[in-house]
Amino acid sequence: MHPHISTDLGLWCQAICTLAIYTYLYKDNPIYRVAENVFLGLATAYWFVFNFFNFIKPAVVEWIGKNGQYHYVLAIILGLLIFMRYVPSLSWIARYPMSFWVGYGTGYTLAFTPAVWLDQITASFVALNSLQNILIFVGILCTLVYFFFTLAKENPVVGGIAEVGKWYIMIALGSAFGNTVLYRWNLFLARANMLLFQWLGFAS
Amino acid sequence: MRKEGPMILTVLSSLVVVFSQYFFLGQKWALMDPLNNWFLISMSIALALGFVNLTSIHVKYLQRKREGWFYSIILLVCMYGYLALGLIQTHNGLQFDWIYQNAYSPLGSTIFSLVAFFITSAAYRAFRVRTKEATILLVCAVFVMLGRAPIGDAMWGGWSAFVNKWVIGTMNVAGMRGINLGIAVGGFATALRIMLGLERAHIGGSGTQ
Amino acid sequence: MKIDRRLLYLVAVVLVAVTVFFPLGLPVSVSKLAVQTYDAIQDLPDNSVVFIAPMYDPGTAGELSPMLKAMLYQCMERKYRIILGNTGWTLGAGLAHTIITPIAQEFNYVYGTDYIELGSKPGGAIWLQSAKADLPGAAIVDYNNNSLGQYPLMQAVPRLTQEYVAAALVLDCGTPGAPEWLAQITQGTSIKLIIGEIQMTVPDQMTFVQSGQYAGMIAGSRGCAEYEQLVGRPGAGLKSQDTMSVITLMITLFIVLGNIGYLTRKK
Repeated sequence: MHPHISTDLGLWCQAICTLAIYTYLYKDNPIYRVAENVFLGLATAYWFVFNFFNFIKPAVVEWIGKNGQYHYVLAIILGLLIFMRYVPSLSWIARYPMSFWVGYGTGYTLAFTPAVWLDQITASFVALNSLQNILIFVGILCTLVYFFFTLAKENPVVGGIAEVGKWYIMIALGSAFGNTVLYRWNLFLARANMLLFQWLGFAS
Repeated sequence: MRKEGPMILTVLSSLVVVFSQYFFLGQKWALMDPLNNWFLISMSIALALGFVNLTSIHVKYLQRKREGWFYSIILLVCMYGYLALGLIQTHNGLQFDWIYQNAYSPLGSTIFSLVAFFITSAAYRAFRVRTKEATILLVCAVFVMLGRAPIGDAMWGGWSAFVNKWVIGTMNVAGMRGINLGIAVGGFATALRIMLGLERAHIGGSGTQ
Repeated sequence: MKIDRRLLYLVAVVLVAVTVFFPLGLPVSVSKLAVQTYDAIQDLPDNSVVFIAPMYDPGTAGELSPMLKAMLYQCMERKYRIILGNTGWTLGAGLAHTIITPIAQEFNYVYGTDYIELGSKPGGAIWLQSAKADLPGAAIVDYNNNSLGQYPLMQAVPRLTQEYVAAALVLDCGTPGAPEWLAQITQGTSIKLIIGEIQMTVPDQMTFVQSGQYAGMIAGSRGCAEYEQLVGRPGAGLKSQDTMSVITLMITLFIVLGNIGYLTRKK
């Protein structure tokens, strides 16, 4: 089991970035802080460049420039208005783009999500012909009662149902937690595989 | 028009989306296509807010020689350098892509994987069965972890089948669906309130009507 | 007993490294969900068009790339026509390209007729809306920037609807992802939505499997290990399970030891 260290510059860069972040496990240190700030800088720049070439440039060059769809000039102005928040006397203008985005998102929620959730609701009414189905149906009802904050939980019936709902929620959250632990370790395993087999070149 | 204008814009934009989805004329007129592009263009421009914010914060740190000001230089150099490279080369540029693949992506995934270690130390130092609820949560988490890894089946042959059917497939489904339906109904109600102009928090109002 | 957390980290790293080099070889049983997922893909009509969407980036490639590989093997063994593309995950298209190329060569798949790579398109749910109405118009060019009109497969699939596409296989790790595919493309249609999901969001997505909105789900790395066995192509998913076993035991031991200490101190 002998390593054959890679000579690929890209892999060395990946390995250095990975190890720089992992130095934090020993303690907070300048190497980690440098890596952290590099990541933040790259992330901010990347997403702007990505969106610039996928949406802003096509809008200006093709839609407005070539196709004559001049209403997109208003969209560009709307986007630029958000920067008014830095001018104290004109900061109220920044509400306009925010309102448009909130309105669009609101419409999207009302338009595209009900069909998905209606199927979820109808799927909750399972045939009560097995223990599993009974547990699912009862569990969904009890969990929903737990979230009815307008119902008095002091009432023993409501309180009892909500308590059962709380148990279901705890099991669901425990299940989510268990899966999250495994997921995070999978991420580390992927990094470890890169370091051991691609960078250091151990035979797998 | 400091509050009325934005409110009208919110209601109009949400109505256009709803009208386009639910009504025949909305689909025939294809109002969503230009609206979608408006959304994408305006949001893309707003991403530059990140530059403005980070620049103003870190330039202040540099001016005041705040502790760690050297890192601010690194951040600003990386940010504007990568931006310049991207604008020159486009997002498909060779060096731009190389930096994404060999620096940004490994940094991101390594930062996410750090949580694994924090969970490990928290498992020994912090996860305590102080209450009934915490006990249920921890026991269930351990059960599920053992069920999702082959070691569970090595200890008891039916472990993973039990976890898949009764824990994840039954109790978890019921709990998660209750949670998700609650979130969905709450989101739907809030969206309706915004569309009807009853919710004004996003335009700096006092909140709800 | 107080233990320096760095010692705990070291124990974890050593255990991972040991199992990576010296696997335990524990058998992985196949769950009903994996069988359901495998059958959902296997039972599609002959010569179906399948849209495979690798909606992930290199950060989650460790878990999702083995799933993609196994899916491609199964689809090509069944001789389905494959459209490979995603929206919003730029590097996912590149990762998928490196995976599909050798597999397509192995099965003598002809580019443009048997399979096509659309690359990554911006827009997320908005792009999916456009693709539903006009797929070539929304995609414009393929992964290599060639015009799509020349390819017989794209001529055969003018829209991302149930008349042309039998199933959508979506590898999901965030937004945009499987929920966008469900809301925009498959909800209320006969297009089967089969997903490959990261371990973390499996509990949440199980509700959609129970409702039938997902025809199947490859549930995390364990699901991938099971699915690889069903496809008959053991790979990275199966290899990772020994490490997961050891990590699970370690975390369990830490929780138990920590609570024994807590309960004895409490008394």
